[in-house]
Amino acid sequence: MTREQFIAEISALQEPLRRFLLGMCHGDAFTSDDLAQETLLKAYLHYDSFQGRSSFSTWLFSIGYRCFCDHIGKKILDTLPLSEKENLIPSVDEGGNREDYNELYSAIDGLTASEKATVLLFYIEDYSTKEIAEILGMPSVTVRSHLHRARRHLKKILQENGER
Amino acid sequence: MVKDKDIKKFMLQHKPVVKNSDAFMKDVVRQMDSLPVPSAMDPKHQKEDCIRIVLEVSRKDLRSVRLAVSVIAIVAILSAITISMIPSEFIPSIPTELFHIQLPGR
Repeated sequence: MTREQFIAEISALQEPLRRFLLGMCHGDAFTSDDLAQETLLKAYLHYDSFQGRSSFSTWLFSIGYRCFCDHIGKKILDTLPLSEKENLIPSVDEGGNREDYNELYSAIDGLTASEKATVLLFYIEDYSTKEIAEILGMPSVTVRSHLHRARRHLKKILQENGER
Repeated sequence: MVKDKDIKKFMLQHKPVVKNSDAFMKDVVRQMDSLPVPSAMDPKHQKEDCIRIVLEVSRKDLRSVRLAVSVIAIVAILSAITISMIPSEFIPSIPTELFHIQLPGR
């Protein structure tokens, strides 16, 4: 792939990537665009390590997810109990640069970071569970269980919204 | 009852909207300009890679030929040693009568 081809590829993928990161950051466009920029520059610098075993978009999204995890401090998160983890992931109630506070962010607010990522990639970006497993670096079984839990959570939220 | 397609519909209806894509890409390309070109995208490096691959293949061929020659030589030596070690009595004798040739005039 030449530099021009690489730019053409990332131009086509920047919107889904930014949308995914925007969802992960609960509408904080400044942070999500910073992360997307970091992702694209990292992909450019480490293009030599892309071996073509997965698709280019899967590879790019996996870098994006890792950037997001680094941003929220996944290493710290992994050592914390679940109740404390939730406090570190940006929530809709926090202030900041949230451009679009919408129902989606409040619906996925109760999910963990990997569950949010699974839901956003599955329903909005149309990735398969196998591809999501590659992006998030976890087994397909875990992705399916994340999806199951997220579905249950979203069904409950939508049902409550429907009853109002 | 909320179904899976309702979730999909809800997610797509409320999907995050990204703005200023052109400005974002311009900024990314501007930053990429200040970074070194990765070797996989550099045509000069690509030529060097081709040369390296060709040399590696020829070296591999040479190595396999050398290996085959060595194996054949070792097998030949071992069989020669084995044959020389077998005592002559174990070698089946050939009945000499069969070769008894009557020469004319005797």
